[in-house]
Amino acid sequence: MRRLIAAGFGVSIIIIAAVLLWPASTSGLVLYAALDYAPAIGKAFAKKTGIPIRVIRLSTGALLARITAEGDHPDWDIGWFDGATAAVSLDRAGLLAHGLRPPVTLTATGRSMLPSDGAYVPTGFTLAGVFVMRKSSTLPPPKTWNDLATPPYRGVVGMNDPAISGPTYPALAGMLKTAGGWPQGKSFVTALKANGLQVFAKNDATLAALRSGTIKLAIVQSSAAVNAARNSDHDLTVIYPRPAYVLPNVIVLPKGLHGRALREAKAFIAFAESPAGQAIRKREGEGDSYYWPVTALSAPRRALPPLTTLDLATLDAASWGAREKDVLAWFAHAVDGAGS
Amino acid sequence: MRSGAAGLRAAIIAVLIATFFVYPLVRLLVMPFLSGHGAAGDWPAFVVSLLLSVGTAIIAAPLGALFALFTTTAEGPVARAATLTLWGLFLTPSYMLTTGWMIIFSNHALRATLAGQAFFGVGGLMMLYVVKALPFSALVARATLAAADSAPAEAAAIHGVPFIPRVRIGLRLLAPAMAVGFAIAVIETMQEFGIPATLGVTSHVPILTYAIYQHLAETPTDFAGASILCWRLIAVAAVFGGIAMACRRQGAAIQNGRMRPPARQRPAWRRELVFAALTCVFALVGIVIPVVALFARALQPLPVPMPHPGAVLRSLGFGMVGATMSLGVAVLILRLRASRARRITAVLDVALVANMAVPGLVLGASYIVAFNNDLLPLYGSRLLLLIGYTAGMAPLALRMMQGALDDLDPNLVAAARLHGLPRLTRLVDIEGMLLIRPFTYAYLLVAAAIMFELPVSELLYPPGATPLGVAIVTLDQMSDYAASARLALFGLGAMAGLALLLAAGVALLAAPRRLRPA
Repeated sequence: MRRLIAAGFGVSIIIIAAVLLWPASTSGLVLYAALDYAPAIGKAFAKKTGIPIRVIRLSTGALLARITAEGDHPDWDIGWFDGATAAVSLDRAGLLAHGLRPPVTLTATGRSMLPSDGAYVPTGFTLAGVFVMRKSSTLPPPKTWNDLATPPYRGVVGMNDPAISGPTYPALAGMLKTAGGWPQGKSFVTALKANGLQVFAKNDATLAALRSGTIKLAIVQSSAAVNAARNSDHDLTVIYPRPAYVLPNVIVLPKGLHGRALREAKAFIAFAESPAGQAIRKREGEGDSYYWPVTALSAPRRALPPLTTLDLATLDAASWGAREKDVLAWFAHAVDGAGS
Repeated sequence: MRSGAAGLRAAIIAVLIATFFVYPLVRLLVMPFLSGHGAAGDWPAFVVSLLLSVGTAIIAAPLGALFALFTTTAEGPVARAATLTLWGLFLTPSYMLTTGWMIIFSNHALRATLAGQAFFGVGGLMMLYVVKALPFSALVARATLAAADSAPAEAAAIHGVPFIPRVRIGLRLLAPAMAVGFAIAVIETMQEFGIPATLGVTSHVPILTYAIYQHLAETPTDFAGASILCWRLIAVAAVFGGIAMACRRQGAAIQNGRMRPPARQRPAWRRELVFAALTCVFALVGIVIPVVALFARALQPLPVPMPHPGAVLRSLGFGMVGATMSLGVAVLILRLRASRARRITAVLDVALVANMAVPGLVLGASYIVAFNNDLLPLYGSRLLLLIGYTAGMAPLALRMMQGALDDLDPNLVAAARLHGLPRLTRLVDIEGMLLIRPFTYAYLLVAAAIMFELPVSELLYPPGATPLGVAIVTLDQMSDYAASARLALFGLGAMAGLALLLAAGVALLAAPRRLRPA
């Protein structure tokens, strides 16, 4: 009996270890994705092409850090996330394949996002920072970024921490650019801090602070804002600032990807940009489904305003990507109170 | 033959220590020198962490020493409750404790109060740090006091020494335990990661461990910068570890000759009342209130399907396999020490002390640097995560098994061999039965520690296989407390289930056998 129980325990541990350590299938593609519609797209792509694909969902920050940590030994074949500046950072570290071309004709906005070296392909865009507040709020709706530094908004504005929330760096870069660029724009962000700006970890935390009444105005990514206003709390309203900075969602491939894997990865990009792929992205996604396509073949979801009504601005991904480390270090020190 | 087996064990252990401890740490710690990274940034994080740690230790060490004195000398329900509370605080994952309190203060009205504002600042961090440091201070002080002699107290009573001199003598005897508790509280608070990863992020207080994590796991990554911060963390551990060892020696010098531990007796009612109140305060703050908050929030409906549904079972599996590996390594090392191979014993002692000074966060960071190459491309695999857990938990497993293995009389096994009992019978029916209870206790403790482990998990988890601790902290950062509370409670439930299962197994295994007549 004793031996039977001891043997049973030993066999159980071996089985659990085998299940935990069983190697994942090496055939097909590995997609690191920070966009919520990626699993549905992966499934549809595998069904259509017969190419197996393993979709691994990560937050944008975790995805970028993981790609950086894996370095020259990537376990991924495709990366899909928000932020051309982040893609530039990865490219500057020598981690990305070059020469990617969009498989479809892009709109003018889409073409403005294309990098010269083909390090990434834009697949749509959201806005890096929009304002969300309660419809019932007595706060006057702000129109521009500069409004946020004025007395009515003292102590009631919250935003994400750009060190934790991947898509927030472009919003911060946009604020800096509006206020004169880097480093001149620092004074505006410092003024926001002096006016009681509060910083939360990510979109959800900032929106939770708004809904709990801790803040009265949240600066978050447009997709999260529209999703919250449409599906979580109908008393929320989204205000599109002037200017509103474009935040492309991009696909990147690792440096050294070649042969069949490269061909299959390009087939995936084509599928993600196709009308069928975009229909799935809009139907199956949650917050991330509220994006504007960069091809004329597909229209955005009806909850999104027409682009003609917005004052859009694009960041120079190359220059803002290059100074990301300095900007984040400064923000951590000046606004977060952390770091050196 | 026996020396050959010991030699093989020594070789295996030496290779394991070199590959999974020395090599990765060296790779990480030489980075600033090789890369020419001389920027000594993040000093605020270091200074704030050190001040918080020393402040925490100033509060926790005397309290810990008093708790230790009470629980080693007193008997009765209050002493038992105090011991239970200390263990409860020791075992509660810090991020779970923090989550409970963050749920309470996520209420806007409470957050706006003075208590709420204090909680989301240095005050909250100090409160949680003290709660987590108390059991460490008390348990190490207990170990020091356990070796204390009852003679001075008895002599003072016989000679009718007045109260003040008696207190002075008592404090002199208690001082080494308090000093050791202080040093350990500083080290533990400095190395704490769960509280900074949850409350620290929200309150924006710069903390060293979280700064290291940010250098490694957030963009832009900076391994050399992280390495510099790791040096500082290790330096603090080394300095205060040295102080702890010196205090222990000092304590040993005060105690002399043959020791007779003090007899437990029912304390005076006033003393019992004071400790009942103290125990209640710590049990409420550290266990009851956070757990009730978790339960209350877990009952709220989720707007979306439960995120990270596989995290509980996955981490339970990691805990079970990791505990088996850790205990295996521990037993291997203890057997080797028993064989009295001097050189390897000295190496093992140095490695164990070094392992104490290296927190999981530094170990995880070193694994990223060391195992992401053509030779050992383990980064991003579940195997490396398991190895990381094992390397971090082996010292704990070793300490828990040491007493039991030391008590095992080698003559017993020799006698069994002499009587021709087969190896399996000796292993299962003799050694196994004698070790089954301490083994189960150690197994459960290590499995639970791995299941709820955070720093190594954060740095080494393979994409798509989120461990429980990472899932809970991620949800906390998104203010999704309902989902994080559910995950935490499911995790506790799964661990309780494993404990019950193993207890049943032990009861069956250790049941006396009916002897059949020859």
